[in-house]
Amino acid sequence: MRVVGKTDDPSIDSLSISLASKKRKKANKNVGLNRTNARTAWVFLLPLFVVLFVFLALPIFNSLRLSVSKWPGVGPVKYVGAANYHRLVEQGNFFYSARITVIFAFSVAFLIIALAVILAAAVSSGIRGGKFMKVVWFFPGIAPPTAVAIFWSSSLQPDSGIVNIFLRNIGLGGNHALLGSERTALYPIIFVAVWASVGFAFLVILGATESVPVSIREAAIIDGANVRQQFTKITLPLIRPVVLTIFTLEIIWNFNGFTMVWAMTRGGPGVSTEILPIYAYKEAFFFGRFGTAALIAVVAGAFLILIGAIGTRLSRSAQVE
Amino acid sequence: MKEMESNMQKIFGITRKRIAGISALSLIGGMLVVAGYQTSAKADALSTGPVTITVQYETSATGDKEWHAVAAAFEKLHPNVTIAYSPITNDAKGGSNLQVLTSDGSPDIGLIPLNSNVYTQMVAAKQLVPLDGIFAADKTVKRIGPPAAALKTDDGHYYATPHTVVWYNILWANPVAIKASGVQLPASQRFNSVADLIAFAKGCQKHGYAGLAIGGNTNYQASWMLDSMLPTAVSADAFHNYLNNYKPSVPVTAHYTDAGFVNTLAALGQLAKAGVYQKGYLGMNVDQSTALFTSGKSCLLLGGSWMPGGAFADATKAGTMKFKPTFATLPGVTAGKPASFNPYYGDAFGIPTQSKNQAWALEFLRYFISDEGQTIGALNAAGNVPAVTTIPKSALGVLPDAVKEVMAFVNKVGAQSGWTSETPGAFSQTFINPLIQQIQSGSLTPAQVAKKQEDKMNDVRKNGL
Repeated sequence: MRVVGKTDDPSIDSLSISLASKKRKKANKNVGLNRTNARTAWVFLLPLFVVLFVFLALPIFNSLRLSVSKWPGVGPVKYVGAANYHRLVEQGNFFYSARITVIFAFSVAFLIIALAVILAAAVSSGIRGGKFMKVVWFFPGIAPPTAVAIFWSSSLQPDSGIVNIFLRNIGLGGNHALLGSERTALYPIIFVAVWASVGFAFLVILGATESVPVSIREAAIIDGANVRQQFTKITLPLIRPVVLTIFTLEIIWNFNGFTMVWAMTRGGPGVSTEILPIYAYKEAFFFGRFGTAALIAVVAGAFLILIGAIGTRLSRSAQVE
Repeated sequence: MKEMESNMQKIFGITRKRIAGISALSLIGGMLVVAGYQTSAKADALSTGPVTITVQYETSATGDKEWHAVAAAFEKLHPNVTIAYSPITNDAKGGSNLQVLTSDGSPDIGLIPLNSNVYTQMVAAKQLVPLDGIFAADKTVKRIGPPAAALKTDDGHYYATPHTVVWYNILWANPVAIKASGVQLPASQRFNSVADLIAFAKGCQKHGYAGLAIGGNTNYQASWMLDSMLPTAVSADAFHNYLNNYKPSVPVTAHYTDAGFVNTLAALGQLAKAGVYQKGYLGMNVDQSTALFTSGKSCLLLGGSWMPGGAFADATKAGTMKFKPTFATLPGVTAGKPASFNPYYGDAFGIPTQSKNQAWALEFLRYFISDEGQTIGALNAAGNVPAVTTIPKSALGVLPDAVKEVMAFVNKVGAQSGWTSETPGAFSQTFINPLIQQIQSGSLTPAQVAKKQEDKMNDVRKNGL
C-alpha cells in the first residue's frame, strides 16, 4: 500500500506510513468525544441498548436456556443439560427434516434467482410488455401466503384441480396427486414458493440491472459484444452483490418458511415435507417438548447465521471486485 | 435541573418533596387498585355489576351456533352478564391453545380436547379450575353416565365437561353411487372383513366413483380407523391395557408389537395398497373428502355423526348433495368380528385459572351442561346429541334423521371406546398418525410402526408426557 507519492525505496514508504498514521491519530483525538459528550452519547444510546436487550438478547438467551431444559409449555422449567441434544441426535427425524429443509430452501432460492435474473434481463433489454410483466410477476407476492397455499393445494387436487384439468386437456392425464405422495409432495411446494416470491427478487434485480451505467454497455457494444455477452460479461458481474444478497435472503426466508408448507401439507404425507420449523412447531405444541423445539431453533439459527455470514462475505467481495 | 426545579416551583408551587410525596401516593394508590382488582377477580361471587365472560369455541364445528343460543338464554336470565366469543381453529385447539389458556389473556371458558396435550399439561400444572361443584351439585356424573368416569383425573377432580357425544368412524354411504356401481352395502351395515371392503370399493371404482373418501392429510383420520378396527383384533383385556398402559402405575400386559396391533396396522396398509381410498387422499383434508362425497363422486366417506347437521345439511341446501346418505361400519381385522363406531366426548370445556370471572364462568358452564342448556345449545341449535342422557327422548326428535339412525344402530350393536380419543394425543394420535400415513405410502412397515409405538410407550412411562 502506498500512501504518498511513488517511490521504489521501502524505507521512504514506511516513513510515509508512520507519518500518516500519527496524523490520523492526532486528527481522531481532535474529533474524539470528551468525557461529558461521551456520557451524553451513552444516555442517548441507552434506549437502543434496552430495545436490543429486550427484543434480541433476552429471546436468544431464553432459547438457549430452553434448549437445555424440559418444559411442557406451562409450569416450571427443568434443567436437563444435554439430554435434548442426545434426543435430537438419536431421533432420525431431525436429520431428515434438516436435509429437506436445506433442499427446500436452496432449491427455492436458486430457482427464484435464476428466474428473476432472466426476467430482469428480458425486461431491461426493452422486451415488449415489460411494464406489464413487472406488475404481473409481482402480483403473487401481494397475496397472503396462506391464501396462495390453499389456492394451489386445491388446484393440485386430482381430477377436480385446475392443474389436473389443464394437464388432462393437453393430453397428460388429469389424475396426478402430487401432494398425496411422499415422493413428490415437496416439488409442488417448491413451485408455489417460487411462484409467490419471484416478483420481489425480480424487481430488486431489475433495479440493479437498470442502474448499470449505459456508458459501460456502450463501450462493450463498441468492442463488439453481443447481447448475451453484454449481459454475462458486463451486467451480471456488476449486479452480483445484489443477486448474492437476494439469494442469501431467500435462503433464510425459505428456511423459515412455515406458512406455505403447513397450509399445503402440514408436513405430510407422513413426515415427507416436515421442514425444521414444522418439526419444531409439532415438538412444542403437539408433544409439549418446548426444550427440543428451542434446540431445533438454536441449531437452525446457528446455521442461518453461518449462511448469512457467507452471503455477506461473498456479497462484499463481489462489491470489491 | 435546579433551574428547572425552581421554575416549576415558581409556576406550580411544586417542590422536590412534594413530587416525592405525590409519587409515593400514586404508587400506593396503584398498588391498591391492582390488589383490589385481583381480590375482586378471585372473590367474584356472582357480582351484580356488569360482567363479560369470554367463551372459546371451534370455528369449523357447530360451536358458534351452540354457544350463541345458550348465551342468549343465559343473558336473559342474568342481564348483567354479556358473553363474548373467542373462536379457535381445529389445529390450534389441541396445540398452541395451551399458551392462550395459561396466559393472562385467557378466555373464561376454554375449549380443551381431553386427548390433547393442552389438557394433559394444564391438569398437570393445575391450570384448570376444578369443576367438582358442577359435577356434584347437578348430578352431572349420573347425567352423563359411564363416560363421566373418564373425566375424573388422577387427583380426584373434574376439570372439564363435555357438551356433546359424537360417534366417529362412520362410513357414510351414497346409495345412488352404490346402485350405479352394482355393489351393495352389507345387510347388517357392518363390513365383515377387509377383503369385503376392498371388493366393494373396487366395484365403485370400476364405475368411476371413489371407493372410500378420507381426509388423509389431517392429523387424525388415518389413526381414527385404528380406533374402530383395533378392538376386533385384540382381546377385551388387551384393549383395556392399551387404553391405560402409558401410565407407569399400570402394568404392561399388551404390547404394541403384539400380533393384534400389528395386524390392525397391516389392515390399514392393505386398504391403502388395494386403492380403497380416493386418488391423492394423502393430500386432502376432511373438507375436500367431504366435498367429494357430497358432490356424488364417492361411494363412501369416513366421517362422524356431526356431518348430517353440518356439511351434509349445507351441501343439501346448496343443491350439491342430491341423495340421502346411509351408513356402515369399517371392517373388522379378524373376519367375522365386525367393528363398531367410536363415541367421542373429548371436545370438552374448562375454566382456566387465569380466568378473571371464575365465579360467573362456573355459573355459565353449569347452565351450559344443565338439561335446559344442553337442549337449547347442543340439541336444538347445533343438531348434536347432548352429552347428558337426561334429556327427554321426545326432545331428540329435532336431530337429523341420519343421526337418529346412527343412535338406534349404536343402541343395537354397541359402540367401542377409541384408543386415540381416550389416551393422550402426544402418546397416541399425534404420534402415530404420520406413521400410519407412512404405512399408507409404503415407506414404513406395520412392524416398524408397532416398534416405534412400543418405544414411545416405554419413553412415556419412563419420562412422562
